[in-house]
Amino acid sequence: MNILEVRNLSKSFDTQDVLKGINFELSQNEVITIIGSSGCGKSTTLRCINLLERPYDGQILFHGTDITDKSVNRNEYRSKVGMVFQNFNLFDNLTVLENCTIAQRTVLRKNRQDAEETARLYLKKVGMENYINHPVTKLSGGQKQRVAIARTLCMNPEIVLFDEPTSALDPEMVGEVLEVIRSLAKEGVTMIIVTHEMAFAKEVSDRVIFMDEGLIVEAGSPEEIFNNPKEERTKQFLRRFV
Amino acid sequence: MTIDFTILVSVFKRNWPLFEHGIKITCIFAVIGTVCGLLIGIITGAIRTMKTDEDDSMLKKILVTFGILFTRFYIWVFRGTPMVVQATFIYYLLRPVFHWNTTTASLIIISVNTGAYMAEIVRAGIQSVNEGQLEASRALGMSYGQALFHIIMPQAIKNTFPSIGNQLIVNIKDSSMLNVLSVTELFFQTYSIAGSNFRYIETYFISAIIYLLLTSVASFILNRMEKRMDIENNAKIMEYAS
Ligand SMILES: Nc1ncnc2c1ncn2[C@@H]1O[C@H](COP(=O)(O)OP(=O)(O)OP(=O)(O)O)[C@@H](O)[C@H]1O
Ligand SMILES: [Mg+2]
Repeated sequence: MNILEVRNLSKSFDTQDVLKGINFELSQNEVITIIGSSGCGKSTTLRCINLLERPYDGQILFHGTDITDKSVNRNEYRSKVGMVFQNFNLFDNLTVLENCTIAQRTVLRKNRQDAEETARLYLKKVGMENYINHPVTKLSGGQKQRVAIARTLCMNPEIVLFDEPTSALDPEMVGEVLEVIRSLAKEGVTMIIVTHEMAFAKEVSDRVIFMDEGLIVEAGSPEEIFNNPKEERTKQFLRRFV
Repeated sequence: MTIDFTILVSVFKRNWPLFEHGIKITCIFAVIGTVCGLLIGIITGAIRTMKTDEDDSMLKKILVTFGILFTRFYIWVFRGTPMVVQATFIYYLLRPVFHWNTTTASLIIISVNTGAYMAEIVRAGIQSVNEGQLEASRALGMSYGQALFHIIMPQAIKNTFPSIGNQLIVNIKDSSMLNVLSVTELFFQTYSIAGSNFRYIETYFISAIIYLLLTSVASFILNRMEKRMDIENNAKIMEYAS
């Protein structure tokens, strides 16, 4: 069964239709990347899935339940769907470790010891175990993003959404973050990744979605999209990256 | 037109116990008013920034809307009228209900008055914390209240600490208005002393010097606290950098 099904997702800001009916599904352990030019609605799609934006129309089924329904506990749902932001959005008043424990303690109601144990585990995984008590404001961009990924993983989410996780990084730090995401993909973490890193998308995804002007133009395996795109718009977009 | 130094000394010596009592009361009112005012300001400032969204229940929408209107009204009235007027009016208005003495009434009024200023300071502080941190907390499943308490408010208070501290200085001076309710603070004492020895210039000169000393000491302490906050941060950084 699909873990997530997006049906006819629509969203507008004021008079601008940003999403005009998005349909796709995500199955367990699958990695989907969404590509497309700036302003086509990639971030809005992720933000709707996480309910940071309220969809205007359509359904988002999580294990078959429509989470746009008012009766759904949105905080509980969000704790199961992690989100990694372009600008990291770490909590500046907390240390690296606390960034990773605060939601475990407040949302999952874990005690300090359990929360810290989990946090150490994931901080180790992203290679940040030596910075545990470091204030986050002094970390480099790549380090911040790795902490942000650990913070999300600590909630043990069923899906992780990445919104251009490397776009705000200096070029020399892109690699370390992609390396972490690559290892998650290998472990079978279910993910939706919005990215402009085409080589990475090709390598890591099970399926690639190309969006343009609020619609999915084409979806398929990395082979299909990158080597044999059917749509003219996809070809045009990809031409920019070769 | 001149200040007679020997008279000054004798006025000071003869009336020191009265001045001392005034200093004590002024300090108590200033400190309690500032601390309670900050608490009131944190609560009302937080309410002022609450938002409803379409998916919230009707009850929540009504409560939040009412809360926002109420805090706006409170801030408008208490910042827009002099504390002398507030003190007199509220004391007499509510005396039949609470049967309160002037000391209790004055303490409450200075707190509520300070709270209105603190609310605006806290609101500005909340707005100074970048929106991304709130989104990240929400994306992890934290409620608005949890995000506010653990993430946003600590930073809001830290960012606006100079303005918050300034309210203590203001209160050292403005508690003098409570003389209308016969609170025996420094101004009331000065007024009484001068009224009995007719040495207005010397008595008020002493009073002014005492106020200046009190506000200077308060400034000094506040500056130290501010520096300490920064030093604690830097120390953390130094410790882990080595
Ligand atoms: N909060 C908002 N209010 C108004 N318009 C918005 C808002 N958020 C996004 N938009 C608009 O919606 C459109 C799609 O934005 P979105 O951020 O989803 O694009 P994107 O595909 O993520 O682009 P990018 O690659 O630049 O991140 C844009 O035209 C943008 O201006
Ligand atoms: Mg975007």
